[in-house]
Formats: sequence, C-alpha cells, structure tokens
Amino acid sequence: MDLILQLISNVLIPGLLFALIAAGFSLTYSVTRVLHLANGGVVIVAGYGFYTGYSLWHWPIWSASLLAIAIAILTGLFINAQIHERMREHGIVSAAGMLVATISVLLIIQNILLAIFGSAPKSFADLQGTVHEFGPVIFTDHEIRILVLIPILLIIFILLLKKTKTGKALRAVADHEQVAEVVGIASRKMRMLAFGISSFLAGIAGILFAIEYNLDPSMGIMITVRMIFRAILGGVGSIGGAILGSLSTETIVALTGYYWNVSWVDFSSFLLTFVVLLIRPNGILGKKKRIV
Amino acid sequence: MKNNAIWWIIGIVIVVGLGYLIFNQPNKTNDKKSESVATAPVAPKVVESSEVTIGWIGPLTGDAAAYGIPLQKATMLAAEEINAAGGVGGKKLVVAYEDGNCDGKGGAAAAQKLISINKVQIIIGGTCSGETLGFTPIANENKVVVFSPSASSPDLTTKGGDYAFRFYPSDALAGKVAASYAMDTFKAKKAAVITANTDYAQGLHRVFVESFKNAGGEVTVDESYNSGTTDFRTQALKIKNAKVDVVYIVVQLPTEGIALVKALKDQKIVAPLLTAEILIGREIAKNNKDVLEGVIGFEAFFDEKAEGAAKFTAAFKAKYNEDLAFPFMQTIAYSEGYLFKEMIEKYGNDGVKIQAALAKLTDWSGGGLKNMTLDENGDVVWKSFSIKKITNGDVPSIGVFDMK
Repeated sequence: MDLILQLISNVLIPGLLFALIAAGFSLTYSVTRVLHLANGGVVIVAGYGFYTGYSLWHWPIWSASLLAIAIAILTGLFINAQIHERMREHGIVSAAGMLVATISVLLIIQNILLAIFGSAPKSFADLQGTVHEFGPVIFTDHEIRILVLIPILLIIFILLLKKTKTGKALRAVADHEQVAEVVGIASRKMRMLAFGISSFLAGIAGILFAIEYNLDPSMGIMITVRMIFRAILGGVGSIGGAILGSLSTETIVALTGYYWNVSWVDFSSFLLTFVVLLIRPNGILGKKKRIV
Repeated sequence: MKNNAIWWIIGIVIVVGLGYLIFNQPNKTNDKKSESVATAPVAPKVVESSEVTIGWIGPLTGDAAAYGIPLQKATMLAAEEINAAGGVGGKKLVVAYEDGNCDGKGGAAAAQKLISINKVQIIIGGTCSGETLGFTPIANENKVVVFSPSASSPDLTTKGGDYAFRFYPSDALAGKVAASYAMDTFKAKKAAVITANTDYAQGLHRVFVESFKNAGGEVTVDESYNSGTTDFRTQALKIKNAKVDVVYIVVQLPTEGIALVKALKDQKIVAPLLTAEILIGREIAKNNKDVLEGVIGFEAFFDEKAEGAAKFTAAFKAKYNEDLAFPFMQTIAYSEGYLFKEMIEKYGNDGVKIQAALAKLTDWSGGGLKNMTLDENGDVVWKSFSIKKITNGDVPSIGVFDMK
C-alpha cells in the first residue's frame, strides 16, 4: 500500500505538468488545426523569463512569474499572428507546411535561448522548499504547489470552455469553422484566443517545470516530444484526453522505472502509445471534433 | 494586414530589449557563446612553409560546451604563448578548432574534415569519450595522432588503436578508486549505481560494478538512464527501498545530475553519494551548492600549486578573467600544446614519427605538467586520486587515495 501511494505521487508530479502543457496543445489543435509543436519552446521561454526576472533581476517571485507568463503569451501570439495567420493569408494550409514552420520555430527558440543564456543549467533550488512527509509519501513545498495549482487551473479551463460564451464560440470554431463564421463568430479572433490560452498554460507550466527540474535550452525539444506523445495517446484535440494521456504515460513510466529499469521507460511509454493507437486510432478519448 | 506592423515592432522590441538587458548583466553568461563564434575553423593552408596546423576537437556548442570551451581556451592560450615566443621551429602554430558535439557522429565528422581538408597530423581531443571513440578509427587509418585531454573511457586506449593517447587517467582506475573508497571508508556492503547511457558513464559503471563485486560487495540497484530524463523520483524511491550503504552516480550532463541528486535528497536517502568528476566541477558546485552539498567525487590527484600549473592558472586568469573550471583537464589541454611543439620540432609534423616517439614517452615535463609517462596502451601512468567533497559550494580535498 505504501508503495502504491509513493508511486502515485511519482506519477502525479510529471503527469500534471505534462497534462497542462498537452491540454494547451490540444486546444490549439482543435481550434486552429495546427500541430503547435513550438508549444514546448513556449514552455521553456517562460522558464527563462522567470529565470531572468527572479535570478538575474532579483524580482519577487510574483512579478517574475507575471513576467514569465507575459513573455509566454506574447511568444504564442507572435507565433500565431506572424506565422500561422500569415500562412493562412497566403493560402498555405497544408499540414506539412504548418508542421515544418512550427518545428523551425521550436529550433529557433532553442538556439536564441542558447545564445543568450548559454548551455549551463539554471537551477532554482531555493524555491523548491523543504521536504514534507505525509506517511510514506514525500513532497517538497514546490511539489505541493504543483499538486494544488494545476488541477485548479485545469478545472477552470474546462469550465471556461463548457460554460462561457467565449468557450462555446471556441468549441464552435473547433467543430466547424465555416459554420461558426456563418453564425457570426470571428474565427480569426478565436484562433488568437486559443494560442493565447495555450501559451498562458504553457507559461505556468514552464515556471513550475523550471523550478522542479532545472532549466537548459535543450529541454524544449524533449518537452515537445513528450507532449505530443501524451496528447496523441489521449486523443489530439481532447482536453480530457490530454490529461488522461499524461497520467497514463507517467504511470507506465513509474511502473517500468520501479519494477524494471529506467533505461526502458521511453520504450514502454512509446509502446503504450503504439498499442493504444492500434486499438483506438484516434487515441483514448479521441472522437472526431470534440474538445472537452 | 495593418496590425502586422505592430506585431513586428512588439516582437523586435522584446527580443532587442531582452537581449540588451541580459547581455549587460554583470555575470556574463554569454561569453561562452561569443567565444565559440570567434574561433571559426581555420581555412586550409596551401603554403606549408610559414605555418604548422594541428587539429583540435571538442564540443563547442550544446550542453557539453560547458566542458569543451574551457578546454579550448586552455589550448588557445598555449598556442598564443608559443607563437609569442617564436612559434614551432620558427613557424607559426595554427590550431584548427572543430566542434565534435560530444558524440561519435560529430567527432567523426570533425576528424574527417581536419584530416582531409586541413591535412593535420595531430589532433588534440576529443573532450568526451564517445566523441573521441567516434574518430579514433579514422585517425588510425590515416596515421594521425589523437591525444585527448579529458576523455576517460577505458575503451579509448584499449580499443582506440595505436594512435590514441591521453594524459587524463583512464576510468579503469577512477572506477576502482570509487569502489575501494566505498568499501574502505563507508564499510559499504550494498551499493546502488545509477549512470547515464553514454560511453563515458558506462565505462565507469562497468569498472565500479566489477570492482565492488570482486571486493565482496553487492550492487542491488543498477540503473542507466537515457539522456533527456528529468524526473528521477521513481529511481530515488527504488534506491531508498533497497536500503543501500552507498550510491554511485555518474552523469554525462550537469542538468541531469542536479535533478538526480535533488530527487535522492528529497527521499531523505542518507547513504553517501559518490560520483566522478562532472558534478564536482568548480562552477557547477558553486552554482548548485544547496543541492549538491555533501556529494563526494574523485579526480586524478593534481597539484595545482606546483610551479608550471600555478603559472598556467595565473596566465589563464589574466587572459580570460575566470578561474579554471576543470583544473586538471585544462592544464592537460594547455600542456599538450607544448608537448606537440616539442614533438614537431624534433620529428617534424609527421604522425607516424610522433606516434613512435609518444609510445616511448617517459618523464616528460612541460606546460603545467611534470613527469608524465605513457604505458604500452597509450595511457598515462597514474597512482594518486584526490577525494573531493562539495562543502558550501566549494570543492575541498578531503583526502588522497593511492592505487596499490
């Protein structure tokens, strides 16, 4: 029983972090039909924004977080306005073209960060706080922050999509862009909103991620790869699927790591995705045109 | 679109503004990068008469640039001093620096270029074991001498052919030292071993596990992680439940090491944490002193206060305004410049003759090193190791271990 609780705690920390990132990715995909691979880059940009505010400028944690989130949102909106909207204007809507563009952005972000900050790891050990024991389970202050903050954010996010008018408009565009336009929803604005929201989530995830796992520029690609596998496993375009995909992947990772060997965790998590896709080609919760 | 202009302006202002503010920070984190830009590969030389070109390979970009660039700076300093003092037998010493990326592919590509375009007979490098192992076959085939300042995998000299040499002691020794220290000092019976999946870390891993088992110990947890792993909570839990007496960690990149040590400490694992040289790198220990406090590492014993070494340390500080991050490796990278000056003056820029001379090298002193002798594999004969413990961001020596 102790072991189960300990393993669950090990699943929740990375699982929730990736759920937040993958949820944003799924939202942008369903509204804009763009596989926003640069989302991992936005995460890492937020981490470095936080590093700049907190460690270099010695700002208090709140203002550094606001700076990081603001930079993340601006990066996301900039990518949308300058790359994806432009490509739409020029009539380039091929999936391959969009994909190449978004991978390029990810690499550009990584190299800019490398040029500015260098490759040495940045750590925020002082923000991790003290270690608490809850029976067999151990959490640091920061891990408790992750456990509380991310579920609240995800619930607000889902409620926003389900209950508010804007949320309904977003879902309408996701369902059928042309029909949504006919009933008077500005799809361009909704696409911008989708990028804004996903970048906001990526921004928060970036700060939490950086404090928990340190920062270096090469993490952007690693985050993107894991994000996309988790999102596809759950069903691209489904927010519940993103959460489920993250948690189930982390469960496999924890079980493999504990009962077998950590060098096999990538193998087993990719195998899980592969097997699920054989049975359900749209992912666990993936149905056509569904975002909540 | 009319608001496109606004987007461009916002974007440019942010990039320029951030760049400006960060570049003007007192602790310049960016000087590594500008350094690597300034050292673009040297163009091939057509006129052989006035210059002698040797090659250099190490990671100049990416995460491992944290090791490659300090070593490059050391070699650059040696070349500058040699040229200021009249060059190599009257010719100017030119070092062609190539980025080997810390992996076998990168190393092979770099060596290929140095050998076929720059026509070098000597390569100083590579920095990482995997990188160096990637190009030793090419070097042997072309009879080009490879002399690494820092690659430590046992395979390098045993499988690297006749043309591979190094002054940095093989991990066949370092792994044994760690195992003996765990046995002698901590009376360890059970060990957990967690290492990166790279040539360097696996070399140490193999030697440590073998020596520990031969001495009657038991390795109860033995894990190797792939690079890019960030979350080590499950491994920490596994190690905690195994109730080991000592944990041996070998990382390839500092980021992983810091995350791993943090996870172990969060699980309140009290067993001593032993490691190799990377986490006790001076800068890394200083920047992560809270996490790494108490970690014990082993490096080849090297007297930083000895005459030649102290002179190099002072010259390095004067030129780059920074302390040595990896004192021993950097001193080797510096001294190898002088070694090859001597070799080329005696035997000419000829890989075959220099290989023959190096195979018999005994008691060579020069640069910052003293009494270096190479054995039949091309490994340096070495006996003493320093035991270092990270204490409050510093890396003081807590003892010396002599091989029997």
